[in-house]
Amino acid sequence: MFAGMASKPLQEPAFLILSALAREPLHGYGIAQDVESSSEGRITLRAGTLYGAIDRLVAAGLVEVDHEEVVDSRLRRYYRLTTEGGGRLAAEAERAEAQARRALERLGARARRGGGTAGADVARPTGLGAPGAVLA
Amino acid sequence: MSGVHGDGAAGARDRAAVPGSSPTSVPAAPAVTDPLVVAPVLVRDYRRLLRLFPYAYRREHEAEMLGHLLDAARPGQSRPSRPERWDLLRAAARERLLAPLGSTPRGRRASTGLLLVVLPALLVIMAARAVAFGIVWAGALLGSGGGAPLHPQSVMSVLMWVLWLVALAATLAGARRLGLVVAWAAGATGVVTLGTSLAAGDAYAAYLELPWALAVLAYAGVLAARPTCRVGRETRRPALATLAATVLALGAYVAATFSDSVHLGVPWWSGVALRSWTPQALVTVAVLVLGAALWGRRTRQAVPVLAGLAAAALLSRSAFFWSGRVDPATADLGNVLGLLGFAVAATLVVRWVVDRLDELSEARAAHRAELAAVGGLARRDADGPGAHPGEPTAV
Repeated sequence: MFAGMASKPLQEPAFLILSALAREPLHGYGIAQDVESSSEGRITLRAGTLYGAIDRLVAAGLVEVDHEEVVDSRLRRYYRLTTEGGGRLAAEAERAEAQARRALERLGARARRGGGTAGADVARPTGLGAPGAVLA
Repeated sequence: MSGVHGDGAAGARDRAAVPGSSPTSVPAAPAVTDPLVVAPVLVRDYRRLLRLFPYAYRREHEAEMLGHLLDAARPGQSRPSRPERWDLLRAAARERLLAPLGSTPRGRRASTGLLLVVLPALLVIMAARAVAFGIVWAGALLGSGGGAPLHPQSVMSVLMWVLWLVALAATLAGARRLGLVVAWAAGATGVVTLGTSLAAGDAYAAYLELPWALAVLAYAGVLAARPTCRVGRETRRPALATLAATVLALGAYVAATFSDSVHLGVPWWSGVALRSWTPQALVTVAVLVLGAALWGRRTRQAVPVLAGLAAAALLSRSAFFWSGRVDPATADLGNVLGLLGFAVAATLVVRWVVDRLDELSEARAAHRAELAAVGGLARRDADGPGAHPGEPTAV
């Protein structure tokens, strides 16, 4: 059962949440803002969706509560990556990077064969560090 | 990567929302939110929307979600936007739907993991009986003597179990999506079976069939909920556990009914072979098993769903809705709905009990941690110079 899910990659929101927490602990609103900016506005995680995703990541042991504070009478609970979460994020990022590199190499080869200019545009090695674009 | 707390747009909005305040963290030093900036009606509306979530979820997240929503509010915003309302309504509906399986993803992961082993072990017995009956009936129908035609609801019931077996086989083989689709098809067939029985005026058949249709629907629901409460890899272990449990349960059932079936001269799948299993004995076993499962923090998460199904199955075999003996002729839609109501109520009540037990466990764990911390400090103090009477001190 579930054998087909064994190598299932993280969903993009989960990947972006882990990515947001990679630098420093963040509270929910900080995560939502980071996800929106790092996905270039494509993904907006609203409160209902965000806390459901965070709950799943906490249950999976990839994220944990760092600390809480009250700012302007508002509770802010900060979350941080666990060691396991960091490892999982690194593995996912490497996989996404490898996939992106492979795609770009093929597009480059296609462009060299005269398959169009679009391939030549994207065949530059820039953008390899944007795994979210590949996971979309 | 930008726009984190205290920086960029978030910080600008924070500063705009509360003039003169700074988002620097000052623990337990709440400032008064300017009511002219954050409209009270907005806070009220957010609170109303958050009240749609189950209690256990609100206990965990309401305060931080309210803070998040107010942080994200545009300057001058007086009402939640339509996307915000939709998102919160959808999330609350999801939490309500998943609530019987657990109030947290951790709880749901435990409950779905256990239910995906226990439910097939229970359902496979009924499925095997129904399929054996169907094979015998089909053989008689196709034979030389012919057989009595079955009622449409009986055919639908057999079809439901066949579909459920296909769903189980597909899931065990790793085709989870196919298994899920077929499991929902089995559940829908169960509902159609109930409707067919009621339409044919055989409400008692619907009354007897309801627990099993509910159980098949519950299996499909658990299968659908499983991916929503876990992140990461799933091993082959659940499949092996499910396979072992179904084989064991079916073997135990055949062994337990074998002597009665031989003695009475009826096949093993016949209900007559179950005669020695009185409702009282079944209730005792169910109460003992479910009561024991409540003790374990993980196992108790599966108890609400099992308790609801057990209540429906046992009540459908009792004279609870009749005075004295069961009278199938007097069964009607009210009995079916009453049984459904009892099953749902049992699930919700036991879920409430499980949530309180979880809270108690958490409180005890926190208390033990505090005691351990205090004990550690005391031990350090005690190990310090001069802690033991008679020892020389630095003074």
